[in-house]
Amino acid sequence: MKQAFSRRVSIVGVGMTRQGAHGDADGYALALQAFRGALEDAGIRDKHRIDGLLGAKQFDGSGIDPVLFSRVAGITPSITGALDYATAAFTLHYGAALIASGACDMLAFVYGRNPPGSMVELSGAQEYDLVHGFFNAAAVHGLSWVEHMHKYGTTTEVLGRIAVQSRRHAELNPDAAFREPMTMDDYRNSPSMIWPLREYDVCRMSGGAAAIIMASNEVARDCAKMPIDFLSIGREATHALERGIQMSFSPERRAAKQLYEAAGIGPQDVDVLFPYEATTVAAAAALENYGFCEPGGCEAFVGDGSRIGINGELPMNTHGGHLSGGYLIGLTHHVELVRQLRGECGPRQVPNAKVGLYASGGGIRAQFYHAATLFARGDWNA
Amino acid sequence: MPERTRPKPKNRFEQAYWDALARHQLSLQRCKGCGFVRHPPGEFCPECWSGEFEWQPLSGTGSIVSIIWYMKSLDARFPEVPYNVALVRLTEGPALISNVVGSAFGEINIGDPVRARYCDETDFTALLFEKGSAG
Repeated sequence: MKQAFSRRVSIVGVGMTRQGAHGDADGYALALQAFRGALEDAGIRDKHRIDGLLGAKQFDGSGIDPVLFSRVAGITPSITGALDYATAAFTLHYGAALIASGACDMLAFVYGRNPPGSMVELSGAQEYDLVHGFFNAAAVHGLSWVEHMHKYGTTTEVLGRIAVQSRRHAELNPDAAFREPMTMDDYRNSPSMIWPLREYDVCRMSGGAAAIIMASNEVARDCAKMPIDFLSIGREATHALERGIQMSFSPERRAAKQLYEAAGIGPQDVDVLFPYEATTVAAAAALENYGFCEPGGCEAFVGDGSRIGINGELPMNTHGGHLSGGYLIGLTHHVELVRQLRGECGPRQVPNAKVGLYASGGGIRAQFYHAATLFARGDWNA
Repeated sequence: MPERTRPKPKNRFEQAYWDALARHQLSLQRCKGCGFVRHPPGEFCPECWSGEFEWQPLSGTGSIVSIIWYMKSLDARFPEVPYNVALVRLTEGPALISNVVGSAFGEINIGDPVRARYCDETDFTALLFEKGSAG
């Protein structure tokens, strides 16, 4: 499926709360705060201009129901929705399609959550198989990484470099959830959880909210800040375990191909990369599958980590990602991406960032989905 | 000992799978339309949508596609660590998630041959594997 929304859909406003501990605050209260921030960011004074509203829910039912949120916020969007597998890219693609089709002009994606176990419990607490004790999303990533190590001779050192680099970025981000300094020794000494993954390979639960407002390119011109455009999207899905397909991230490679072909650019044109990382493995996979290095080459590519740092060749998850920034189903990645392309990131600003790539994958009910988006500022190819 | 829980049935075709395991026989549905061997059990072949099938007894042999080890208990029903979870590709094609019992950490690796070992619980039989070839 080749798709491009070139110059037709833009992100015009982003807002987010601090990620982390939020006491007994309700996810809806946090989401309202983020929504207010996004409207202000876009320079939208009349909240009733939002004519589409998307929310998202977790497997346990927590999250934002868009109908309920529209009552909380006192708005009456004509279109609402929440997807079954609703992490950021899947939902934003859906929203972009609604705007591209003309079904609505200005759409908000709002999400907030303050889960039990915030700041302590590991995220991804899914029960895949109670006969065999197959628990947690990290287990699937672990299976993939064991294959990778076996095939390419890679080690967990590269995962540690990714975890440490994420933490360095979070240290520069006052809104990040986990900011205490971390070294490679801290990583190596962190408890083994699901071998070969350690606790620092897996993101933890945290509270927080974010909101993203999208509009048609015509409407975007009236907004306060530089619109960030959708250049292209890529999506793929595969059945995985039961079909006996090796978990080699093949859908990710197909999504990457669609994405680059539709935009007419390649990995060398990407200024900043935002992989959705429930674990460090997902970030390592994105480097290979989106063509930044050869299959098996992630460890050599990452090296001592500076290459994926703010001033490196390919800055990655400059806000700290899920690993250190806080887990919010990819929304904070998008908020950061937009702010990077606008040049608003202060001490963690990537110089002259014009093109950003967001890549996410995930499994649900034995199906593995992948979705990615290329974003750019209007003058990216000037 | 882990407290293994048989999953709630999602359809009426699963019972025959569990009945066969109780007889210490792994059987999966083989499509009469296209020959595809499917798992988990279901009414229609996901390849050709045929509803015609037969239960095919399998050899119970396979090999390790990948294997992870839980070093920390994430659930009170599986308190003893380390234990492994493996993706096993059966000789006849499909792959499934299971445990390889009887091997310590480091003694079982990708590509190693495994064979079925049936584990009788109070109300069902779990399909596990152990290292080794047929026989």
